[in-house]
Amino acid sequence: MFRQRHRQSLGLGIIVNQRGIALAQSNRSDAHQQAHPAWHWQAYSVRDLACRQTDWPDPHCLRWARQRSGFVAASVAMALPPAQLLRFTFPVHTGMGPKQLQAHLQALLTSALPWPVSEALWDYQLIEPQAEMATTTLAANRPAWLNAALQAQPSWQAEVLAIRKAWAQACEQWCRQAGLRLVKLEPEWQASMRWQTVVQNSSVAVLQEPPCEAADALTNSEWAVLCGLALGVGKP
Amino acid sequence: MSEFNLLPWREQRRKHSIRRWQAGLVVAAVFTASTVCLLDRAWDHWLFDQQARQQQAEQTMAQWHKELKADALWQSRARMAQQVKADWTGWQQQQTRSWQAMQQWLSVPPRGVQIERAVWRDQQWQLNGWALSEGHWKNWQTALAVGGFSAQADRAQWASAQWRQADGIAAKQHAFQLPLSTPNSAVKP
Repeated sequence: MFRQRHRQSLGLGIIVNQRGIALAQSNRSDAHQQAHPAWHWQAYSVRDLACRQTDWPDPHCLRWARQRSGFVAASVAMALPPAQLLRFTFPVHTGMGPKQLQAHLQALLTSALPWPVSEALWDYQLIEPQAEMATTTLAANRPAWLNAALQAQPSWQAEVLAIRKAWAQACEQWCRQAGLRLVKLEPEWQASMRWQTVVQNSSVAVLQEPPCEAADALTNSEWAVLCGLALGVGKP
Repeated sequence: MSEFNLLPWREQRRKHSIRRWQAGLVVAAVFTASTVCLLDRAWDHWLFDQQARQQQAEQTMAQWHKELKADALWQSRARMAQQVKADWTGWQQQQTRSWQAMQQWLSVPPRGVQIERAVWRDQQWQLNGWALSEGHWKNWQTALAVGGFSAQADRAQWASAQWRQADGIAAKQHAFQLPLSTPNSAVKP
């Protein structure tokens, strides 16, 4: 039981690039002072490179990499490549409830997406407008009462990200075939920013660059994304 | 910092909370049902025990009644109780009559006469007391006769005068005993 609970508290961040698969396991709560998460790099063999025909490598590669790494986590977070991601910003009213807001955003997405909204997965986040942004919306040619009313109206921005459901399903199936459970799909910049925030706020000296043994396999940005994924896999 | 997750985590969280609520509901229902069932069984068990105890007590009581009825003392007491029950009305009437008679003779002022003791016996009052003189005593008897009482002079007793101290005053008084019957005392209840 302890082992199962321990496994549930851990998570894996996975990055797939042209050279191989990188895994990073989130630290336990009592090991936050470590420099970076435990990581493992599994390069593709020549046979794997020859057999690779789809976007996703053979699930056995991932299973083999996990076995070799000794990681026990079964929950996986992966990063969304920017090419798969669509990003929108919609104005919303603060008076809406969660369900009403989701319905409103779904209606807006229906016209904004290049594919049916039923074939999309999307998530949103509310952004409070900055003071300078509010002032910039004031137009000189508008009447004063209209500017005042626009300023008084509580208006927020909803940042919406959308991907194709088929891509997410393929990703989920790839993880499942490897014996893992995909729990998080987040944009690369979000994971990278999480790692940079942790590095800046860390009480111990942590290098943003990958260690020398990972320098050949991962770029700086890929390393930041991998570490950010491992840090954020436990959160919804 | 933003926390996007393109997987339907909100839906999953909602389903998870619904599942948790349903599980809680099931657990609560099972707990309630089992508690009610246990209480019901405990109540039935207690009721059964109580009925058994009551039945045993009733059997013991019946046995005791049976044994008592066969006992000679119980039989004599039962006869006495029946006798008392049969005589109870007559006693009540007699008590009423004696009370009425006492009220009547008390209404006659006993001038020079001091009643010391009054006993109801054999359907008549037996009065004992002291009189200052025979004249006082006769006057009182006359007043009683006017009130409907018949003093039985043959059974009355009159003693010679003797010094007696009553209420701090020394006086010569005659002790007397007077049976007093009401006119309807001859009728026995």
